[in-house]
Amino acid sequence: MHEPFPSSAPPVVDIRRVSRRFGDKTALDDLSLSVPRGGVFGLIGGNGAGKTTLIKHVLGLLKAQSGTVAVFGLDPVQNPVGTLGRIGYLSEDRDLPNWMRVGELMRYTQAFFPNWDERYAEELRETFDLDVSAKVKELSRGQRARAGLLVALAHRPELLILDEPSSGLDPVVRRDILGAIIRTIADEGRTVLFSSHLLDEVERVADRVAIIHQGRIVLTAAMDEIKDTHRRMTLRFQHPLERPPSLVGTLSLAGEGAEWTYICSGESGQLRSAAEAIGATVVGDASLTLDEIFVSRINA
Amino acid sequence: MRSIPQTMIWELWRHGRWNLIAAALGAIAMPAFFFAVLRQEGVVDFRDSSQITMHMALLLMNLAMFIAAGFGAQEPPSRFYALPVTTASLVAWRMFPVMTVTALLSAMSSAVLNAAFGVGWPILGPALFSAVLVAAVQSAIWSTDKSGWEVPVMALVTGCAGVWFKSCYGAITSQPSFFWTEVTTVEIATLAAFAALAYCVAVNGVSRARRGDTLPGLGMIPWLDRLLDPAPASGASFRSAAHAQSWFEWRQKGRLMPAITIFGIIAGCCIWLISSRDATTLYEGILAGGGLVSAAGLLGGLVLGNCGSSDADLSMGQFLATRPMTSTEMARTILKTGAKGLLLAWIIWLAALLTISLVLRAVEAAPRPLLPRGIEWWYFPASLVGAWTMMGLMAWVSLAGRSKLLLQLLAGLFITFIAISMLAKLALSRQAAQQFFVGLPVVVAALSTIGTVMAFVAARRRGLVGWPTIYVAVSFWATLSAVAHAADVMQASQRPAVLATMVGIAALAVAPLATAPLALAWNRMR
Amino acid sequence: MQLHISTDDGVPIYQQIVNQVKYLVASGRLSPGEELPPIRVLAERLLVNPNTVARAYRELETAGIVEKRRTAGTYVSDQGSPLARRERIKILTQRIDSLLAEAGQMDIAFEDVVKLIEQRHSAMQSHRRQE
Repeated sequence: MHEPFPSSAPPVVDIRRVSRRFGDKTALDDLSLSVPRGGVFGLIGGNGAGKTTLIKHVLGLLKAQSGTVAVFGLDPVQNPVGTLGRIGYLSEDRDLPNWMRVGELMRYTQAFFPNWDERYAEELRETFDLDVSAKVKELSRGQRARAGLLVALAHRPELLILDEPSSGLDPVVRRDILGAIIRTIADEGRTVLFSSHLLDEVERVADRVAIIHQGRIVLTAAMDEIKDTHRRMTLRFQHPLERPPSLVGTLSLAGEGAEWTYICSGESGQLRSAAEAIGATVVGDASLTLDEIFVSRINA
Repeated sequence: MRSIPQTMIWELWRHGRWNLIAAALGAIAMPAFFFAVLRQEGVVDFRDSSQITMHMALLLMNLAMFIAAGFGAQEPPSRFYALPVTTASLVAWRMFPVMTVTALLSAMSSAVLNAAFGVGWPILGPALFSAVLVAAVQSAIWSTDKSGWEVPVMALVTGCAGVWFKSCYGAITSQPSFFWTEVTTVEIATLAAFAALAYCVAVNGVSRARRGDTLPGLGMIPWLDRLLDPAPASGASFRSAAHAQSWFEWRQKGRLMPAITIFGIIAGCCIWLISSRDATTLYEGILAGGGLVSAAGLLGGLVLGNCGSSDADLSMGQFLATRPMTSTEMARTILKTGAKGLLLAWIIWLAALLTISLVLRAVEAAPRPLLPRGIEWWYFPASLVGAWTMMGLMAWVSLAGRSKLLLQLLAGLFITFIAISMLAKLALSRQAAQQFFVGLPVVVAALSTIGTVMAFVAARRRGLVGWPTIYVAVSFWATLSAVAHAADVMQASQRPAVLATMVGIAALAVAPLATAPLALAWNRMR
Repeated sequence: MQLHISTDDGVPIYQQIVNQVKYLVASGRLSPGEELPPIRVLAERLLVNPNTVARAYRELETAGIVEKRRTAGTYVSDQGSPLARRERIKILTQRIDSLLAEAGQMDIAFEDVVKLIEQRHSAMQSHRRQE
């Protein structure tokens, strides 16, 4: 765990050149993605970018119209038991049967997963403050999310998939979810794949990030690498300029007169020398939040 | 839009015009078909008192269609709660346009039928009645929304309406004796009073819902709650995934079929008590209840195949779709649950039949034949097989998970069937028509057999069924066909046709073993 | 050990941890020999990826602020080590740079700044003697 992955083990999820259309709309466009074993993989993109479609392919709920999908080396459509039995999944809409009681839900789910740890499940239930005889339809939204998280975690899945886990939830439940993510990968060899558009959460916990936009992967890299290679440079030129020259790797540009702020991809040192080469002094050099990186990448 | 009434009426038209037009056409077409058939059979005078019951039945069917269309045309009033409109005004303008439209549709359809077939149907009475019935149903539904009281209240309302309707055609407790051609002032006053009552109840109910108060739900009565939904014994864990899934399906959907059967038997007995207290009628009614089990199977199959997370959406919800279980296993669990429920329903019906025949035997001095003429021992297994076939058919059709497609298919089949029958009856000579109607089931049976074989081939190719299943299917089919052959049903000339039909039905009975996994897989993995 | 992680201004999280630990050690709120929380515990507390905490601990170790002991755990290293002292001097240097820059902007002469420092130093010392 102290080594940043990737380990030499084969990737947990291997998607190759998958395309998917719904009618005229292209949801995924020749997309390839590989999720290494161990660590937290964050999938970020706007609404309708294709995150949920991608996750459904991983779960075998959508058949790839072209390309291949391999989860633990198996095809999830052909082999639901071998793949889904090792995956814990929390869906965006927290689809749970309304009529079931929490205790029944736990016993029911236990029957499907041989690795179910009863003691751990009971511990989670108490931590999440879920009443055994409460019916799912009586639970509040946050409690429903916790119940869904409980049944996803209790069998200690090799792969934990969370689709927009924090949407519509209060900060307390969000902390529970982030805590669960961190505890999961603290165990060797377990992987978390989660999609979110709350980028500050992704920034905190993700090891590796993929940005999806209009069905294509815009960027896949380690979180550290992304943060190191995107900077906001404020340059001061000798004379006021109408249109300043662009540096290599500029994603966006703003300002007026003699002072212009560039958001660019590249290392700090390289960018400084490039700025000096065009005769500007570097007045500011700051790192960017993941949010800003995402927005400038999408708009570029 | 300048005013609230204008908006509501515009919405009714805009949202519901196709519903209403379809209902109007249906209300004219279906009776027309019946009348055309009867005319062919030689019935000439439709004003005869022997035709009253049919008239009443057709009229009630039309009314049901109008009411359904009216509901489909309007959204529930909850959408308007946050808008600046008083409850009284809201209810009035959701009710009166629909009432008017229903009355007009009813009058119009009766007038058209009168003109086309000279059936002499009353116009004013049923129109007024339909308007008030719509109001009553609306107020019942709006007042009991989401409280669990919907079913009892609706049963009460429709029951009372039915009884009053019958009283317009004769004394309540005997057969109807005259057409409702004159609408007396007493009847008008009663109808007006009911309409006013419906309005007041609706205003009360809607304002209560708007405030957020709910009726004490059935679920809140603790003992009833415990009866209907007992908490399971704690600590009992499931033996296997299949066991857990069976429990899930039974709890969620399986109890429907026995419940429908019990309800149907009770309702039937009540109706018998009201309309005629002849022992023979009761016995024959219960016997015909074998068909009720089939109806329960139909509805049960529809519900059983619904894997969606909400009632309207048949596409499989993610909770079920991500169970680590093969599609075959899941489909098998669903069919097993259906079989269990159906068997239970069938046993309940048999028990009721037996009880009633024993009671009648004890009460009456003269012994009666156990089974009426024309029905023999095969009726009992046939009712079970028929119910299973219906259930299986509906189950895999709704398992496929394409609700729009399903509706279109059903509507298309229905229309095709009516159209072909009408054409045959009216266009061909009597002899040809007879042969056509004998040949039609044979064709359908052949198609279903071929379809079943294709389904098994497709399922085998996808690895969804194994050889043991196929052997079981083939042997069942052969057994059923043999049994049908053994039962001496019809005269020799019609033997082959009937036999072919039986073989086709046997194929349909066996088909779910392949079609259910296919449909489920098609639904689960898109 | 109270740390506060924020994703508002883009500073990498491991950097924030490193900076804050350095400050705590330099200001004496973390004493030499005190144990830092295990990586996993700190990660859960702060709700950040354990790899990030691990990277921060590695950087602190390289800078000599903390040391890893064989049995378990990471401990604040002795203040006397030359690396630690160098870190402390670096922090003070940054403060002095900011002070000088601000004095320049406020147009206060360097000699006045030095005089001010001496004044404040004697004031603090007399205050301490009074206690």
